[in-house]
Amino acid sequence: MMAAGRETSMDPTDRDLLARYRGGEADALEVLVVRYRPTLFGFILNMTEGRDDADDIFQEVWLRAIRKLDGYQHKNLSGWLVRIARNIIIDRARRKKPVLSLDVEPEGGRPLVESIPGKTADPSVRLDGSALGLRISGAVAALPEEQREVFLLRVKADFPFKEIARIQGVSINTALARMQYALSKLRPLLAGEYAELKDA
Amino acid sequence: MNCKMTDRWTLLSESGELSAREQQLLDAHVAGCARCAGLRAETLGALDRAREVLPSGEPGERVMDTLRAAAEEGAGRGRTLRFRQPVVQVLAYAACVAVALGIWFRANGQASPDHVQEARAILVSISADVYDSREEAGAAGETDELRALARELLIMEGMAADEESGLDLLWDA
Repeated sequence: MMAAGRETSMDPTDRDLLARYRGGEADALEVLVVRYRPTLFGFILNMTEGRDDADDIFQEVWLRAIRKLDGYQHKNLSGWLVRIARNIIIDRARRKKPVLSLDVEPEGGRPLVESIPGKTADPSVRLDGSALGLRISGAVAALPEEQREVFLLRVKADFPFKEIARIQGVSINTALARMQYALSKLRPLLAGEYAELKDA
Repeated sequence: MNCKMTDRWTLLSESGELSAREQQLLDAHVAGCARCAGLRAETLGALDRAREVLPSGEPGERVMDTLRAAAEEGAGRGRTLRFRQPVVQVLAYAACVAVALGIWFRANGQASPDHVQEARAILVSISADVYDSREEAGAAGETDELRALARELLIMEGMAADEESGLDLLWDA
């Protein structure tokens, strides 16, 4: 299966566009940015805690990519971009040093996972069934890092498990097991919330 | 094909990674097993719902403007700058190792502690760069060549066995 955003048979290939860019056509790069924007930004947006972070990371991914394009020889551009995004996200998370676990329930309050910064505050961020979606988004955010990453790479970036395994540096069986764990936690929530959404 | 495999095969089927034969086996099993049919429907439903409700969006126009400017600046750079081509790359790295050796052997061919430290710093820097470029350019062969050069340098330095292991660790990180 091709990840959403990749070229169709009618469009110029990534390789063609990269060759044109290297040849001096700046517009060719914009075609690539737009091509992978939905999947890459969707992945980043759900891996980070807010719209501003996602904007910064998306920009940084492409700036790094532009700097390294001369030596780029991979056949899979989207996988390379996601690897860069993943490294930036990991670096940022390390620098932040979280003080509290998302699962910790403050005295008399709700779990922190329910108070994750509102991804819907910005009107340009689309979230269907906003309140329900936010709860599901919070549940995804509370998954262990590696499970959340597999889940989002599959659901938002539409990557096949073979590629996800390569990105995480694990076997395909491990990637599948992580997806199963993630789904086992989200499935009841997704089933219940979706029924509410449909009834609303 | 058995019930234990249904969940994973459903995921692989949804991502288009099952062979035609495997897909047939999954379909046949699910057709005759109500429990697995339910599990498959539930899994596929959950994935669809997650796609519907999770946030999506686009980066702001400010980001796109910044990228356009960076693209303008970088466009065409590849016509003149081909430094990262594998052959040129390994020659460049080899030259760096030679510089490291030169620093080491200056002062009448005797290595002072300062020179050794300087040579080591260059090696570490080259190694990190080679590691990055190996990831990007798939230059495993070139890496091996450089690794051999670096090892030669360190052996000439008369380093201890644990330092040699350190080089392995650095390279295989």
